[in-house]
Amino acid sequence: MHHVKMKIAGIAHELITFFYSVGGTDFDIKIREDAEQHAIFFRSNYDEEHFPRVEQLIRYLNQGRRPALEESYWGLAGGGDLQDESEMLLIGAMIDHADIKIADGYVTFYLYRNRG
Amino acid sequence: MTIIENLKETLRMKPFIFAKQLLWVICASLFVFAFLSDSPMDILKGMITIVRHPAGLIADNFAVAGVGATFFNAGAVMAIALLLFELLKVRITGPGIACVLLCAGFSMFGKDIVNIWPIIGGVFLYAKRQEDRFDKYIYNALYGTALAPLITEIYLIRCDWITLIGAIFTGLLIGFIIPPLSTYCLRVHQGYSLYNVGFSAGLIGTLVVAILRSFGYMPESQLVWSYETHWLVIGYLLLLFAVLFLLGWYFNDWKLEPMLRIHRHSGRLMSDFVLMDGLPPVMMNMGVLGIASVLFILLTGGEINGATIGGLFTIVGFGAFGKHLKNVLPIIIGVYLGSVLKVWNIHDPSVQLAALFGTCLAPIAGQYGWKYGIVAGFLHSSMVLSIGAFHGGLNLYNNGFSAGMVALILIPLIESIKGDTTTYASR
Repeated sequence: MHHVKMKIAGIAHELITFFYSVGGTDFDIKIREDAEQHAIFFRSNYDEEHFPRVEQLIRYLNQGRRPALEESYWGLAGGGDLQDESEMLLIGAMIDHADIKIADGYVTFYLYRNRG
Repeated sequence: MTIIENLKETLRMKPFIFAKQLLWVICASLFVFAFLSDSPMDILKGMITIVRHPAGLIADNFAVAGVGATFFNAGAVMAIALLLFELLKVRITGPGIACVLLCAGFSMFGKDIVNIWPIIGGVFLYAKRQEDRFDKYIYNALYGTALAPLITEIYLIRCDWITLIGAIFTGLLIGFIIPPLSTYCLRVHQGYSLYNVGFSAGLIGTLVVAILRSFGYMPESQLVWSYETHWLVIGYLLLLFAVLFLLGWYFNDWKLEPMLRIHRHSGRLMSDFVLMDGLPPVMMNMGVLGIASVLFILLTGGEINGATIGGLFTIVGFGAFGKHLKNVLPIIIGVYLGSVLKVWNIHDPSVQLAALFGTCLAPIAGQYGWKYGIVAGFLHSSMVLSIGAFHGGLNLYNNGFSAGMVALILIPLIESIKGDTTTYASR
């Protein structure tokens, strides 16, 4: 139950570095928490040539939460290489649900992470 | 829908179900092979010997207790690991496959059905202290048993109630420390050493052994090594790995390309190949790694015994979680080159293990290229042969300890030498 806020910060950090690596230049981020969950809103543009990587990220974010992996490897979130997909897989293991929209060269994420 | 089509659908939609069944089949094959090798009575006697024998590096159970008891112990510990996954309802994909096969492998030389429990108990207490669920810490609990020989070692000091209580207490304490320390150690090597807990266990082992030495007790490393050629065991391993490959190949509709796609990954933690590419290509990758590793040991004049099978099972397991032929080969070449230029031979027991277990540095080759992989393997072979003295051989993942050190030194150096002007972020 500890380090929850560090994990949230790690997810945000990871998204920013990922979108830097795919040509992002315009980011919006908002984090909100209530009694049940943390919600992360993230919006960024990207370079069209990197769209396959964005698609891959979307696939990884929809894998579903995996608490055992999260607890073992969350320390890697936010500190790695910009090009590395393995950390995107880690972020996917740290969130319960993702709503993702793509429009006009921008990706918008609503990521939800339940408490507990 | 036919049975085969059903299986293919399960493999695609729910790989974790098939992965678990696959591991149970491998576990059953260990028991079957145990009873084919020795009589039940010999296995029972061998198991008692394994539990009572010092378990620190390197105690090859083939030499300690025979082939049958070694396989039985490996099957039993693997079954314990699988049952924990079942009871705690943790899905098995790449990391689970790696963890379970690593436990089986190290039960061929160090872990046994008794000495693993205090550490698992310590991790359980840590979870309770955090007011958290134990299932979240299953990887820490199972990997943490790297220090299981310490439990045996403390008990064997006097073999009485006092040393028994001391051993259990030490195990609980180690289990309690492993989770937070392992999380911290990840940041140090940034996931470039796949045996992360080996690094944290090495640090804990160094501290505990230093304390033991300061009270006058001097744990010594040992070399109990079977030099026999066990053709039946070699046959079992080649058959197991060939079946893995063929089964994966079949479910891939006899295509090699899906397996080769795995080679594009660096392998850095946490590269769950099962989620990235699906289970059939991963099974092929595991089979290829297993066969290549057996051939490497045989061609370089090494032995297939408990300790080296431990290395083989670990490589094969991590074929689902970070290792593939492209990132593993440079490390092995680095260790081999080291054996040519340095004062030891590639077929020396510790060097064979360095070549097999040193592949935990594979992500360096995967991320930065084969040249850096060779350098990592070359440095690792020196580091691993001297670092064991710190923990008196009581950390089974000595290679993980060494690899963590090598990655810690090498990664900042590589990044400063290599530079990076290709990513958007660095512009």
